[in-house]
Amino acid sequence: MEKNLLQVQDLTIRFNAGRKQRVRAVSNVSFKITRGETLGLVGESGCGKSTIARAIMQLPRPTSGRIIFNGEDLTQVSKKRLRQLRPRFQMVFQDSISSLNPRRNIIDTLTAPLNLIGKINYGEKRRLALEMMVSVGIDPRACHLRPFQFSGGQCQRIQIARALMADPELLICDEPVSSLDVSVQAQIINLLETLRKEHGLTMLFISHDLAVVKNVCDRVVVMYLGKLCEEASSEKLYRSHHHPYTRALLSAIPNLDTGLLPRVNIRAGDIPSPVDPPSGCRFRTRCPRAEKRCAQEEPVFHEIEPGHWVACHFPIL
Amino acid sequence: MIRRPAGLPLLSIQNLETTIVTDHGIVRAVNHISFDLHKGRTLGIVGESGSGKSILSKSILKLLPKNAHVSCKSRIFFDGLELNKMSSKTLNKIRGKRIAMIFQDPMSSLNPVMTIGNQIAESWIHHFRMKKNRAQNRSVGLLKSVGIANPEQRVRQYPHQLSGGMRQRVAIAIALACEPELLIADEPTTALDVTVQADILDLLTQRQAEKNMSMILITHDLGVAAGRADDIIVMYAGRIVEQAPAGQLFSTMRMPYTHALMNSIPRLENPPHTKQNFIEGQSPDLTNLPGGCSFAPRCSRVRKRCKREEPPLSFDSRHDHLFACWYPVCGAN
Repeated sequence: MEKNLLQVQDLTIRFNAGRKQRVRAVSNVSFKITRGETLGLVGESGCGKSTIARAIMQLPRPTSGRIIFNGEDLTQVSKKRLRQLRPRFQMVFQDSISSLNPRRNIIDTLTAPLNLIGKINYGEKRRLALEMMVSVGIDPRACHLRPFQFSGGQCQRIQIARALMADPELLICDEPVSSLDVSVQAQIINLLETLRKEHGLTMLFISHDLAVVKNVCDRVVVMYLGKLCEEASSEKLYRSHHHPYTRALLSAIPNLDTGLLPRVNIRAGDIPSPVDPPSGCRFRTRCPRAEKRCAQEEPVFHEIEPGHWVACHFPIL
Repeated sequence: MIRRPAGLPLLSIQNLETTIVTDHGIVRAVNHISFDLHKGRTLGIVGESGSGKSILSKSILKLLPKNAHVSCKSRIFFDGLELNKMSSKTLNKIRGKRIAMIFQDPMSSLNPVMTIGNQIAESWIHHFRMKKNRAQNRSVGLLKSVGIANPEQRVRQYPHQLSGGMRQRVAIAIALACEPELLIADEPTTALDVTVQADILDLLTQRQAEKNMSMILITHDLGVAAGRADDIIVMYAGRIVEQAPAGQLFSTMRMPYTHALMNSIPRLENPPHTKQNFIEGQSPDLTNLPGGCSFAPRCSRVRKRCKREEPPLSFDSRHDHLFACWYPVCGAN
């Protein structure tokens, strides 16, 4: 058994943006997730969080880089092997209602992943599905209903159940709670936490809400415009972060106890385009600490103290 | 104690009741709501989805769907004018000019086949009969004032060419074009990133202070309301369950629902893998509201009386802190 369940190395993803333009949605991103850990991935919309999640799922395969899952490079394995591995890494999508097939009832949605695993008879599949419904808190009597008959929070539970049916080791959650009300959000966070313990899951938790991430994740990676800015344990990131972007994100949270952090003004109006990212440090156009060097030289993602990585020429110390 | 502005309120809503007729029965979306809003002040309306926040705001400007009806006993006064008794022709002279609205989703509230410049100019042409050229020139300045870079180019672009944050800025520019006295912002930042959210809210607060505008800020995020509103109304199942000045509300919550809602927000100071507090059960079915207090089935402090009698919106120690609960939470939060 490998210590790191997932290792992402030098991941680069480019898309064609028409007119001979190429978008580098993700450039040279590396991180790893150890077994049993929950890693948070945060950043503004458009920074490439979901693209990374999809690349890990091989939907589509990345442009370059390696994604090593339990010792095997997913970008190199054959289609047949990938199909065998798929049950071991599953994903929960952001928009719960539209990611469920509207014409399938819940029981069919939940039994479908079991077809990947091998031959199980229908009675057994049904039993497993009903058990899973109970464990995510959906009344099993509702198994013949279709997605539109459920609320957003319930659909999110069904989606989580679907992802767990194949008994994965790695669960990727792409903004699982961002479209939900606070009280429902709290329920889903608790559910994920219970299931994580029960199934011994390793999780990649993507969110733009730093308060949620703080409550869920052991370690956090902050992204900006397709690059990593900072990586640290979640406690450390909130207490002593070094990247000005992390500071800006934290200080923008509308807080009940205002005055937690001095507000950092970053100009949100001019988020640069990933088609033509700024030279040097990508954050420099909005950074309050930017100097000449930031435009000329790209900061290296380096370890500033053990386990705490940052990419900045002038970190906050 | 916060000083109350003297004189007549700019907006006064009395006993507002809005029902929606659906196939499943009559939905009581807004039930007997009354409040006053004074000039220059911000009222935050907080509640979960389905609590009637948006229907309430749309009732004010009669922007409701056809199957929704405002009860004839409801009275909505704006600067002495009774809005819900007006013909739509007269109301059109107020909509967008004296009362403006910003909607949640800037993509669907902007016209996709009209340039940004024309959409802003439209309200000046309509309300002030301004010449088209002049209105379009003015829209450049307005876009600049809401923090859009290169406004000269942007006026010629269409909504799909802008990012979410910029679209919301355009929506704000349109709303502010006629310098309204009242701005209704219905979840103006829900679809946006935190950094953009903070910027947009700052922009609204700043413009409000400049023009002494009143604002109704509708949000499901108690944090947003806490920082920006003078007074806060908490809604549950179409009713007001608590109403107080913002500082007072957050220092001493009386209604168990507000308390529970507040506790279910994930806190930054919690360590990883914290178990979250949440509210048991689900919001009630608005077609068939339970007798008594509508929060009773989910309330941790529920007693017999709660299920029998509906608690009135009343106060005890402070006359500006209203709550609808028989057994309120006491003391500091």
